[in-house]
Amino acid sequence: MTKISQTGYSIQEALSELIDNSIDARREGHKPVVKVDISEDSVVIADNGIGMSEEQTSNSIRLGFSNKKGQLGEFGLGMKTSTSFLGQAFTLITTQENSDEQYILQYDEDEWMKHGDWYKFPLVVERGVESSKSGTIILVSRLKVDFSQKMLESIQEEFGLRFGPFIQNGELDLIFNGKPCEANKPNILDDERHEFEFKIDKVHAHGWWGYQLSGLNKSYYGFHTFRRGRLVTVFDKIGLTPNQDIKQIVGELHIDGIPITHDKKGFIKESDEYKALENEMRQYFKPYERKPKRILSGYAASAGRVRGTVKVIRTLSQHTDIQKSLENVKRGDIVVTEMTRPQYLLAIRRAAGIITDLGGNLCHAAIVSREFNIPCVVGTQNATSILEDGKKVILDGNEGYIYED
Amino acid sequence: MKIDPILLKFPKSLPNDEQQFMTYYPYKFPRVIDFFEAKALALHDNPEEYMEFVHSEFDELDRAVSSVIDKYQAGDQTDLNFLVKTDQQFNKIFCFKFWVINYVFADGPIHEFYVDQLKSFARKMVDATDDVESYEQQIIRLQRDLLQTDYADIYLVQALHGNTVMKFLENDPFSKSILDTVAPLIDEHGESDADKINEIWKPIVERMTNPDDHHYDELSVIDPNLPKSAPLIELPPLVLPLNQVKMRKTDFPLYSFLNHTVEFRDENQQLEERYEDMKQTIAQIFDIAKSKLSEEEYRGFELSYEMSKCFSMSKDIMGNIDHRLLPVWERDVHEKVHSILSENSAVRYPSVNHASMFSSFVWYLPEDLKAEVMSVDESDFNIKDYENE
Repeated sequence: MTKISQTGYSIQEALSELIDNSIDARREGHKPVVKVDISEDSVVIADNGIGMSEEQTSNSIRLGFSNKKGQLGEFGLGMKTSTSFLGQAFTLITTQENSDEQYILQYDEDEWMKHGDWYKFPLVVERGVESSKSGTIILVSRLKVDFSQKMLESIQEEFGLRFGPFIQNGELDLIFNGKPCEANKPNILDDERHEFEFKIDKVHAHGWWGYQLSGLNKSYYGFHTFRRGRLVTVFDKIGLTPNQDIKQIVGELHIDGIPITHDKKGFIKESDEYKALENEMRQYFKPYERKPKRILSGYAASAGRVRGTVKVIRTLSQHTDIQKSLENVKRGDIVVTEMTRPQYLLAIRRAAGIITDLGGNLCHAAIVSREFNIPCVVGTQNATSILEDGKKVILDGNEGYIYED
Repeated sequence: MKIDPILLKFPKSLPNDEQQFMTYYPYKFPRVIDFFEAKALALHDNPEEYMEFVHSEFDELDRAVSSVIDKYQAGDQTDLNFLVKTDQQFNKIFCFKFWVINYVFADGPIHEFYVDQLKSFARKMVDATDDVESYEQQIIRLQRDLLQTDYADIYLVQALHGNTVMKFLENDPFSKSILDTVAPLIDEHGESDADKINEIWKPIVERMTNPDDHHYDELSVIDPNLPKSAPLIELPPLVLPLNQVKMRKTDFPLYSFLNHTVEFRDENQQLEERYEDMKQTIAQIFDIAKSKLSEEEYRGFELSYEMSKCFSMSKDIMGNIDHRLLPVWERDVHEKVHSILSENSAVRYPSVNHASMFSSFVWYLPEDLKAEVMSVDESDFNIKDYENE
């Protein structure tokens, strides 16, 4: 089992396997509630599912054994490999509804290495358990992994991504260290989602797509793919060109009829079914993949990408009513000016981004945009000449570019 | 970490010099060059002494400006000679006491040096990964946090003040009922319904401007330093808008402040949370620096961060002169000069420009005043010149 645990898992994936098992074990008519608690010395995953019988509990420790055909855990590696990846020991406590028995299995890696025999694994039966109780608790101890604060934040974010569809549809309550996980929602431009569907022989794929602005990590675009309601891959680029930037395609793709790898982490790309779908999607998305035209460049003063309508404020012209220009700035506009001033504060607060002709890293616009966490490009030289009121642009505060939208 | 001595020399240009002071000041007041270079050499790597310098410069700036304003208000404001002389006095004070700190230091090559150092150190502090984008992303985040620092500048302070005022409005039953009426109007209509919204605010504004109103026991809950039954005007967040009320002789700044406090209440809350997190974030960054950098590098990192922060803080300190200086210099002296000169010529007048005398008005001045403006002033700045006049 020690070898199996070294199968290239990440911590997030190992935890997700255990949560998958909990979801598989959901009771009819009961919303699954899964609690994940991580401390310095243990990881505890508890659910309110159907629990396991004595036989199921005994068999759960045997490698490769699974009676979950057609379900998320059908390959029977999930619990064993995940727990072994996370720690050197685990305890499994499970009970079923309408039973007064609770089954406890304890695994210790060192002990098993000395005398291990899957068929003779000790199982403790406790009686007198409340019969309405039902569910499984897995407690992993003697941890092999470190959980820094950043790792915990990353896990919570990952859970929002992987189990987002379940959470969003009200099919799962996932509580991480006492806090409910929220579904990760992509920021779709104009909230415009386009439905699509492909049927090729036995393959059926359907979903939706929309545009997003690329973030700091440009590879986070593509499709979250699902099979039987379970997330298989994230940011899958099937049918899309690589290196999409600025305006990227994102969406969901639900696939039936394409074979899946044994670890459930991907579809078999060499299969004819996969290739056929990929081809169809490539043809479909060709007209929608377009990179916006770059029209200005400057110094990237404050990170972020945003799309908005230009509002020009000319300070150095004697013919401008500056006050009126400032009042014209609406929420989400992109302020374009020679250089911002303290009097512009209200307009800046409302703006989604700032573009200036002048300035460098330390100018007023750079400072306030970092303070208020809005993207900013400074020192473009001629933004106020090239951009007009009402023009729609994409401001890239990461790289210092402005694109026509 | 040693700064290149060339960066301690007076720069040839500045990136944010939209008013082009660099075109005029080193030529009009050449002693500013020696002044800057002496201070740069002495203070460029000493945050505590630099801040002491900033405070003492602001003190002289404040005293000198006050002296000139007093004399201006007592003088003949219809006399072009007097107006030009006043403008030139403002320019000299501004050049030596404000421009050197807020532009030549804070926007100049020394600050750029420290910012570049922080960016380099950030690269050393992030573990390289196979995922290049993730690596670069972490570096950008680290650089952004280091540049922002845990210092609350004047803009952030205003946002935090907004939160304090919101707490008051929400906790005082009388104010709460007004807030509940006004908030949906502000969210829906913004300033298009300004008159209607301001009418609803009126009772609160009247109490806020009434020094005898002592009915706000809730204030001590919001600000424990205030005694119970303190008048509302003593609530610190109201000090600035109430000063503006006094200066502009209208309650409009207070209405504006209340409207913006409500309009940006959610954003201000997020800014406060981010500010609270920032202190912890900076502490964590310093821990990482300690573990990843050598001893010498860490000292350099610390110095770069502190000096960068000093330059940011100094901008706010010097900015405290704006509300007294700008109304007199730009909106009064310059407008009067423009008005007099416009009697005989179509004078170009760029809005908002301290350097208008050099860039615009000089072309239309009588010859003697033109000569005065365009002649070199070889003297140093001396505060005694303003206090003895």
